[in-house]
Amino acid sequence: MRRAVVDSAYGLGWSLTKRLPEPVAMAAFARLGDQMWRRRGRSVLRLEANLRRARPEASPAELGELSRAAVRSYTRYWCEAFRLPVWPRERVLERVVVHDEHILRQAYAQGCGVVAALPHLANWDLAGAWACLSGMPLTTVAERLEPERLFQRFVAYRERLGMEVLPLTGGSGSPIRTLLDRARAGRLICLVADRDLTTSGVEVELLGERARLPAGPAMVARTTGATLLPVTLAYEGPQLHVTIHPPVEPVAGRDGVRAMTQHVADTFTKGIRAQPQDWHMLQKVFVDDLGGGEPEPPR
Amino acid sequence: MRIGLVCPYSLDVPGGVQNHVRDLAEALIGGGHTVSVLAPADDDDALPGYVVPAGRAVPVPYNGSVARLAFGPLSATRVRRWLADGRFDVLHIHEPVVPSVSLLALWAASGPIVGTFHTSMGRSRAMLSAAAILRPSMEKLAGRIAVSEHARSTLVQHFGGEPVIIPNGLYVDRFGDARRSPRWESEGGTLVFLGRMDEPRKGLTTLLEALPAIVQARPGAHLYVAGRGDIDDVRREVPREHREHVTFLGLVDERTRGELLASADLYVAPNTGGESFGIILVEAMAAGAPVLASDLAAFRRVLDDGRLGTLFPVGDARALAREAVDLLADDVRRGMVRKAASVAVRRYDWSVLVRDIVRVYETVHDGAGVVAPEER
Repeated sequence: MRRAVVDSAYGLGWSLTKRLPEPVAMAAFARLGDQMWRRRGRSVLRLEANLRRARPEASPAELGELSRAAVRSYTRYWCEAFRLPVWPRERVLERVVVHDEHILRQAYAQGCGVVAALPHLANWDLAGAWACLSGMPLTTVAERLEPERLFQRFVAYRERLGMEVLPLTGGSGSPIRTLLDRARAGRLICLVADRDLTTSGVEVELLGERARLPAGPAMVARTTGATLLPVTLAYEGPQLHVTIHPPVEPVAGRDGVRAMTQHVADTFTKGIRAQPQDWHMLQKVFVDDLGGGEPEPPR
Repeated sequence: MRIGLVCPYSLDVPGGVQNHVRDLAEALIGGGHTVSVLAPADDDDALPGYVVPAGRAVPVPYNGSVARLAFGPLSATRVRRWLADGRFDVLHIHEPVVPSVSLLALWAASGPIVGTFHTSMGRSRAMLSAAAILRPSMEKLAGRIAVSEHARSTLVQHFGGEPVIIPNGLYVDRFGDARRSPRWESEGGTLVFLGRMDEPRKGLTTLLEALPAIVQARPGAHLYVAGRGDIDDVRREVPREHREHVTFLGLVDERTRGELLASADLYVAPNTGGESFGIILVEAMAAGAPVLASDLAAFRRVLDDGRLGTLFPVGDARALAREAVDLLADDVRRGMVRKAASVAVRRYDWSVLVRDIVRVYETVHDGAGVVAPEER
C-alpha cells in the first residue's frame, strides 16, 4: 500500500502535492485513503489484524471504522511528508506540541548521546524535523524508498534540516557502526522501533502478544551509555502531539537488551492503545502472524 | 526609537542574560526610548510593565545552569503578533540561536535586527552541526554584539563576521551606594562568596577546602556564603572544628547582597569554568570589595591581568588560602586595588554601555525601514 500511496503522490507530481492548498491536498489524500480501505488489499487486512491487538474488545464494525481512520491517518502522514519541505519552519513549530520536553532536553544536554525509540505512530518525521529545528540535529536510519530519485529528495530535505539519514540497505556497510559513533559523539539518534527490519530482533510482548522488535535502540544505548527514551506520538486536530517518556535504565547481562526492549514495548503499547488509529503498521509484527518465525522483508 | 528586545530565558530565574536584558531595557527607557521586552512567561506572572509574556517555559539545562525556554506553537504565534504590533525601529535579539523566543524572532522578523551573543561554548559539536542550518538566518543580523572576547570568538568561529564587543553592564552607583554593615564585619577579615552552592563550576568546594588554612593564619576571619543550594549538604563539607568560621545565608535579597559586598575585605570567585564574562566580579569591584578570583580567561580580562584584583590557579585551594592570608594582612594593598577598581568599573556602567548600543541601533536602522514579520 505504501507503494501505491507513494506512486500516486509521485504520479500526481511531487510539486503539485507540495503546492496545492493544504485543505485540498489533505482532502485528496483522505479520498485516496478511503479508496484503498474499500479495496481491502493485503496491507489493509494486515493493518486490521494489527489493530485488533490494540482493540481486542472492538466489534467487527468498530474495527472496520478504526482501520478506515487508520488508513486516513496513514495517507495524512504521506501528504505531510510530501509537503514538509515547503513548510516554513514556524509551521513545524505550530504543528508540533511536545509533552515532557524537559526529559529530552536534559538528556541531550548531558552530551552523552540520546537514542529516541519511536513506533510508527502519526508522523515521526515531523517530530524529527522539530528536533532539528530546536537545536538537536539527529541521525536516523531509513528504508530505501523507490523510486530512487524520490528517496534522494526525501534525504536532501532532511539533510538541509541537519538530519543525517543512513540508508538501511545499500549504504557503505551496516548503519549500526555509524549509529554507535554518533551516540558516542553525543548526538540525538531517532529510530523507528516497533518493527524489526532485520533478522536480529528480540521477541517481546507488544499489545499483549509476542512480537519481534529491533534490538538496535537498546543495544546502541547500552553499548555507548546514551540515554534511551521511548517516544509516542498522536495526531490531535491539525497538530502532532509528541510525548517524551522517562529514560529506560540500562540492564546488564545477556537478557538485558531484551529487558530494555520490553520496557520500550510497554510504553509503545500504552501509546498505541491510546491512539490506535494513528498506528501505521501495515506489516506483520506479531510472531503468530509471521509463520515460521521469520520476519517478512519490508514493503 | 521604538526598540523590541527579545530574551530567550524567563525573567523569573536570575541569570546573566536576563539581568542584562532587564537593565538594558531600563537604561533605554531612561534615555527616552520606547521599549518592549518579549520573554518566556505565563500570562499571570508578575512582570514589569514593559515585558510581554511569550508563553509557558520549559526548564532546560543550559551551560551548567537551568534555563527556562519557550519554543512552541503558542510562542511562535505570539512572536509574530508582537512583531506586528510593535512596529519597532530596531529589533534586538539576545542569544539569537537559542531555541526559544530568540530563534523564533530571528526566523519571523525582517528589517533592522541586532543580535547580542552572551555565551562562549568553545567548538561544541552540537553548535557546529547546527551552524549550517542557522547560517541563513544569521545573515539577517545587521548588527552583531558579543559581551566578551570569549563570546566573540565563539561567534566568529561558527559564523564569521565582525562582531563588536560591548560588555555586560551594571548600574555602578547602585552598588557604590551600598553601605558597610557591622553585621558582616569580622576582626580577622570578612570573606564573601556569592553564587549557587550546588553548582560545581562555581567552585565553592575549592574555597571550603582552603578555609582551614585561612582561619589558622587569621583566627578571626569569617566566610559568608550566599546563594541557592542545600545548606546542610554544603555545611558537611566543612570540618566540624571550622564550622563556626562560616555562615551559610542561602538566597539573599538585593540589599543584603550589596551590604555583603560593601563589607567584604575579600570577595572570592573560585569558579572552575563556564564563565563567559564575569559580571559578578564587576559588581564586587563596584561595591568596593577587593577581588580574589581563579585565573579563568574571562576573569583575567576583567581584572586587567591582576591589576584590579588577585588571581590564583583554577581549583588550587592552597594557592587560594595563601593569597587570601596575604591580602587580608595587607590593608595598603587592598586599599590600592579597591581604588583602581572603582575607577575601572565605570566603563561597565549602563550610562556608557547604552550609548554604545544605541550607536549600533542607529547604524543598522539608517535607511533600513522598520521591523516587520516576514511574509510566510
